[in-house]
Amino acid sequence: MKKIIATLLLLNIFIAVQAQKLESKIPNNVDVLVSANAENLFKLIKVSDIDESAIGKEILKDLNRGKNINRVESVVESEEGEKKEDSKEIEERDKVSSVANAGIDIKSNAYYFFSKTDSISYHNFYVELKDRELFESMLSKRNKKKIRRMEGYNIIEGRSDIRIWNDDYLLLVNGDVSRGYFSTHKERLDKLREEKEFTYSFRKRIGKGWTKKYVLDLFNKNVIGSIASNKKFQKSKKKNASATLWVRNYGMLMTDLFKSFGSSLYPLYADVGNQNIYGVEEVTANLFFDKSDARILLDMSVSPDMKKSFKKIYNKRMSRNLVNSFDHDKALAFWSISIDTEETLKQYPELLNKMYGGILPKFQEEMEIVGDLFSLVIDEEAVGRLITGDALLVLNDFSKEEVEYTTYKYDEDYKRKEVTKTKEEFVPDFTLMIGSEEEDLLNKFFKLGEKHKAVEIENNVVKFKTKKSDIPFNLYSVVKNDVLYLTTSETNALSIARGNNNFNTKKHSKLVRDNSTVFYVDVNSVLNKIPNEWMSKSEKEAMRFSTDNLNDGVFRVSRMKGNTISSELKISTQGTEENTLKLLLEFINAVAK
Amino acid sequence: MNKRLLLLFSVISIFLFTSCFEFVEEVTFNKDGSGSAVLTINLSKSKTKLASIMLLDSINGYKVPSKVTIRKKVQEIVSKIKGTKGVHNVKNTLDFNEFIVTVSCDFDNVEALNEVIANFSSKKHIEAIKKNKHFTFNEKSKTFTRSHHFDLGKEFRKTKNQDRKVFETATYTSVYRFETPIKSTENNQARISKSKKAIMLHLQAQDIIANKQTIKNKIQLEN
Repeated sequence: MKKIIATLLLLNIFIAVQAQKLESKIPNNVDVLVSANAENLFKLIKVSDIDESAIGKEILKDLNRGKNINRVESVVESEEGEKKEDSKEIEERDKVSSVANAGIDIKSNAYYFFSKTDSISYHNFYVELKDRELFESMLSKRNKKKIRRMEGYNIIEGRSDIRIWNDDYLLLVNGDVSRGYFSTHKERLDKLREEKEFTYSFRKRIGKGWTKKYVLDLFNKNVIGSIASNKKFQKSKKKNASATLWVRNYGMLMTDLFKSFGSSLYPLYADVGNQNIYGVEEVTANLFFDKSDARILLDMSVSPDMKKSFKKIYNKRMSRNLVNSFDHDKALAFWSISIDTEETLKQYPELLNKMYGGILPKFQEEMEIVGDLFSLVIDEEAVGRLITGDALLVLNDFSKEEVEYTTYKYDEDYKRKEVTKTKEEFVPDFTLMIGSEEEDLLNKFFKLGEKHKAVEIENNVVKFKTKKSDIPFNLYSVVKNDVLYLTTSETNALSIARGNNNFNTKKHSKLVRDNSTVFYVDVNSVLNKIPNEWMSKSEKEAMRFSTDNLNDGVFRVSRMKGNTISSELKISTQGTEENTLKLLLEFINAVAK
Repeated sequence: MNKRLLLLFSVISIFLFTSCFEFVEEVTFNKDGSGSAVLTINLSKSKTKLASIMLLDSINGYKVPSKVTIRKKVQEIVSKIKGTKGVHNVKNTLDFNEFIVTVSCDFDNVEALNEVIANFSSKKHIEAIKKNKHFTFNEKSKTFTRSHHFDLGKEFRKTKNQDRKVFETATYTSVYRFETPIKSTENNQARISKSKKAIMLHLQAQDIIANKQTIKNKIQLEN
């Protein structure tokens, strides 16, 4: 079973030419669907690329392991020497040499989908078969015995899974009953319980019955209204994507999942009804392997009632004062966030009401009052002036610092003496910027800190008196141009205070200002700063690979467009390989060595 | 300053430093076999790293103890030692600025030291300790032996790979002082002092773990 799942999962990644064939067999009401686009994948790599990769070799080894067992058994079973040779030859010939020769049609799309009712949820894998007999020969001896040949299909019923196939398709389903459903319908269901049957076995038996009916219907009957005609899903599949994930309604899916765990685990969600707890509806993600970058693009649509609030919170551009306060060409990494604090505070009571009012319907009025009180106490505008909602954290460098430590010296009679020595240590050099329009208030704070000897102020630079044993670096602060700066570098602090920064600020300006959140890492620059003497062999190999092939990594979350928030994770490469999927296989090969 | 941010940078720092520590065992013997012992664990060279770790909740899947917990644990150890027969004047220091811990005590005879070790061991180990004592001092033959009952290399191989790194740069030092001059030593890594009344063994933990070197020794004193 494990073998089959692992193989299917891995093959799932590399899979399709007649795309619509299987899609017409997947019902329209699935909640989650992952499709691997074989046509796009095999534009990027050849089957032989998979066979020769570490993953391919692992799959082949796994597939042939079953074969070896058969061979040994056949050798033992035969008595005469001649027969032994015969069986050996046959088995040698049967040895699988390519993942394409395991009976499964890896050049057609493969699908995983998740579907559920209020009583049970199903994990499904659907693939096309190229050679039924070949596929069956891959099964373990035990499973071969379990095959039941029916009219038009073959079936193996496992402990919690069912495998069903004919000459063209293979479907694998794992059913998971809802504990919540069993406790809600206890009275009715208990009548079905056999004498002295444990709850666990009872649930399992009932669940198995449901699963079998589901599987037979799904596999043998024509699906009316399949996802092939689901416009939303079809639209979610982007051109050239190697794989696509589609979630019908994320918020509702989570609500239902919480409910299915039963009220004992999540009492809060027991009475939630049909409330979308997160306000997030359709989610789609696409995976791309281009020439010089690999990307995951994720789109989230927000429910109409939350949309207004989200828009107000997230549609803010970071102030140029922050964006222009660091050298874009030298930054090793940075993290930016830009939200509208004033609007966040104003929208908070409403969001609170929508999220928790729905979860706790009995407390709707209480929630409203909490929200109103919040608005009454908090002066949104004033807080919004103190913390505008812009924040930018930049890793400038790693610097070496002399650190003292205690060790021992022994005299000629081996009497111990404590001595102080110094050693060099690497400490991060970073700058944190927080947008604030309340310079006077902040300065008053620092003046108070100076009075109480927590800070020293010189040349408009505030130096924090930190103990070396608490944090391994110095900390300086400057308030200027509506920004509160915190930095580890005194030079940096002084130049900010004097206003004589001359930074290159072109590279990331657009990226930061066009998105509400950005996380950027210049992978190689960071890796090259880290001493590698203590790295293990595979870590060193990964590092060498990165230096030779990678450039940088960016994760970004867009501002809201329409009712959609998009995010993207993108790894840029030096384009040394034909495409990034090939590079990924090479990376796995390199690290797996 | 934002505590989370501090944590973030502390975590980065952790990956930059490798840890270093010194383990020092000093035993001074009187003629009658009684004496005093001091055990020192000095992590000062890794203090920045440790200070950062102390800000975390857990590392490598281990919970990071608070200063209070560490103090309590050390106190527990000390009171357990205090309860051992033949051990007196137990003292300890715990310095969180330099990350140095010491425990010292006086003992009536080396059996008391073996007893201390047994007190911290499981039943199975206690039996092994009886057969393979950590310390022996034979007044008649004037010999002192240092041994242990476990295979360090084997114990070490049981640990997770990432945890082993901790020991990569650790050192072990033992100093034994006698009133009578030392005649010979079986461990060729040990050095006898000019006065011949002290002997020091300084080893890299790595070598002990790899079974290249041992802390075991038999010291013959002059008659």
